[in-house]
Amino acid sequence: MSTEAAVIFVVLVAATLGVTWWAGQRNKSVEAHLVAAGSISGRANGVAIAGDFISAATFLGTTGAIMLAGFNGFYYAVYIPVAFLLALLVIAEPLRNLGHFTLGDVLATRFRGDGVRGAIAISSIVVSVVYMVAQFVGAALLIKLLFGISYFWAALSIGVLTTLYTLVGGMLATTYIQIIKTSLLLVCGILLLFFVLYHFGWSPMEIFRKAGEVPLKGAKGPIEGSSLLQPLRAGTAAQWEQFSLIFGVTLGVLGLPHVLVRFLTVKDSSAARTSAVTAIWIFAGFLIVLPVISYGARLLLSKEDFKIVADTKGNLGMPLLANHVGGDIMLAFVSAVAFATILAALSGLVIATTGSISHDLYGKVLRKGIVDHKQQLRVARIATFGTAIAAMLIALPMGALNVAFLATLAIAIAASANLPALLMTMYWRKATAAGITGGMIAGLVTAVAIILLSQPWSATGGSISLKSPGLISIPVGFIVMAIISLMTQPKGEAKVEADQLFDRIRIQATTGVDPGDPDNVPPSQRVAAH
Amino acid sequence: MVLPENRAAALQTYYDEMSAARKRIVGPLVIFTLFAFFLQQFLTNFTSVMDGLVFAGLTWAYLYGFALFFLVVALTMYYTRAISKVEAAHRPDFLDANAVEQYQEWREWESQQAELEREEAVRDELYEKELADEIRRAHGKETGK
Repeated sequence: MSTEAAVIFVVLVAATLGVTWWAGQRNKSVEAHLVAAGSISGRANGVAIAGDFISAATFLGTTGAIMLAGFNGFYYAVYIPVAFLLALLVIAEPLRNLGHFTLGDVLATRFRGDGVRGAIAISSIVVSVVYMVAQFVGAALLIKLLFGISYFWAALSIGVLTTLYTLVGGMLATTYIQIIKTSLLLVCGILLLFFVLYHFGWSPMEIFRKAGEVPLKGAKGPIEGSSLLQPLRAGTAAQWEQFSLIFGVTLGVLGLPHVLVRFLTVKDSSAARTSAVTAIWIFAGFLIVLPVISYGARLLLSKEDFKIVADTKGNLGMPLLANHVGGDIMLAFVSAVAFATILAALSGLVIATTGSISHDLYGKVLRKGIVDHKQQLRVARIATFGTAIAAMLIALPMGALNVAFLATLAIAIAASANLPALLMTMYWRKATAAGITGGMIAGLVTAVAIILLSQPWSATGGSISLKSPGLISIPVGFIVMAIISLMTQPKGEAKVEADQLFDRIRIQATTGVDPGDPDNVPPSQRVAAH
Repeated sequence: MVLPENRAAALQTYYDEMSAARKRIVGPLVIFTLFAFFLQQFLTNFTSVMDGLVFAGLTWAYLYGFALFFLVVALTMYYTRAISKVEAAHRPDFLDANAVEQYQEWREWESQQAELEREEAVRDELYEKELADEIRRAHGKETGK
């Protein structure tokens, strides 16, 4: 590591530890630990949400994919603002109005009993842990590449810092670290864009024109007559695979616990709306320039550097571009921002898992809600520590394995189990507890089964060619939920009661107030209304 | 200011207006967004109609992709303005006033809880100290020290 890199790296870690210490002074209740007591402003939360999705995978992975695969890499940028527009329209506001700490709270407003809450808690834990392990392994490999340290030390340093941030600072520290990182990432993007445009006479069209002269590379070498600006269609199976992947990740955003829980850190539905709008503006502004930066990098880097980019599946594209256009200092800055990106994303995942374990499983399912303030906070902290350490211990021996399929699996489960459960609970009168639970299990099992049968980790491939299960597992989740709900419709008085409850939660989802008690503000908003 | 006896009715009116506005705005926007996005996916992934150049340096595929970004921002602005207008016109004032009042009550409750926990911790510490002293005394008696 160069001296510049060491200085920037130490300053960044010191700043995040300072934020953690500051947040630690305020992290004295379970509300503060899990949802920052609803104290985050809409704008700040929007920046944090944007940070959750402009992760290392986007900043390094998507730019690398555009450098290597041309237009097909751009698919990974386009879906993000679209997914968040859908989240704004159908999820963000009702979720804020019904939820308190977790997605389980939303379902529990309508379906009493432990089954539904337990099912979404387990699904959320599975999604977050699987996603966390994927991020952890990817992050440690990236740190190993960027800083030249061993995989073990990379994973250990990430694990220790993540544990510290989340355990001491809770959701407040996690959010502000995410905000710092997003701001740095945006500065980084602007600087790289500036340097790249400088080399091409300040004309993005010049970069596109030159990229149009570079042929796409197929399995058997460059494809004649093609260009980086055109979509690559590598056969029917690959095209359906691509479609299924984008379908799954687009809808998966609407079911990812660590993203959705962020909407519970603001005071009301109006602030949740502001959060989504802010995030969409950042996505639109940042992601639309990625092709310009990526093609610029492809054209500027030497053959030797480009070989390194190809060997690292595109991950080192941006650091090498930074080194090429801005020297050691820019390389150090980009590497430090990538490191902060990884820590911030992992911290958010740890907090989301903590909420499901301590609030849903321990507080509600195991203790039936009979748990005092002090106990809740203690359990939340134990869960935070346990989650961060468990993710690190799982990730430590996995450095040599290809775990890219884990991220796909996590998002597919979120889209196939959590999303149908949330939408059906909030919008469909005929949904029943049995239907919601059955649909979630069906979605989860289908997604896992397809991933297992396709065996993406084996060199020979599996018994089916579809590696991204979304196109099948998402409809399965919805259809099974609908069929079981229709088969288990309540009758007589139970039906009247179910209808009244649905009407009541519709009012709460829309206005934020329980109509049975309009003077009593739900705890989620009472806590936050300052 | 809505009188307490009229609050349920005011809430119902607010819900009716918001619900009608959401139905009117959200449904078409969701369908339009899904259609525009998956049409781009279909046309670029399964056909070659987007492969050609609009002009030197820009393919139809990219033009459509970039247009989606502008579309998302435009739809976001349209939705936010439309729903905020309905909210501003019909949201009863007592909702926010209650939230502030009950937040103060919650803060008081929370500080009382914290005080109780502190007292409990002091009691626990004293008890443990006394217990340790007692064990030490008993041990002293047994060993004659």
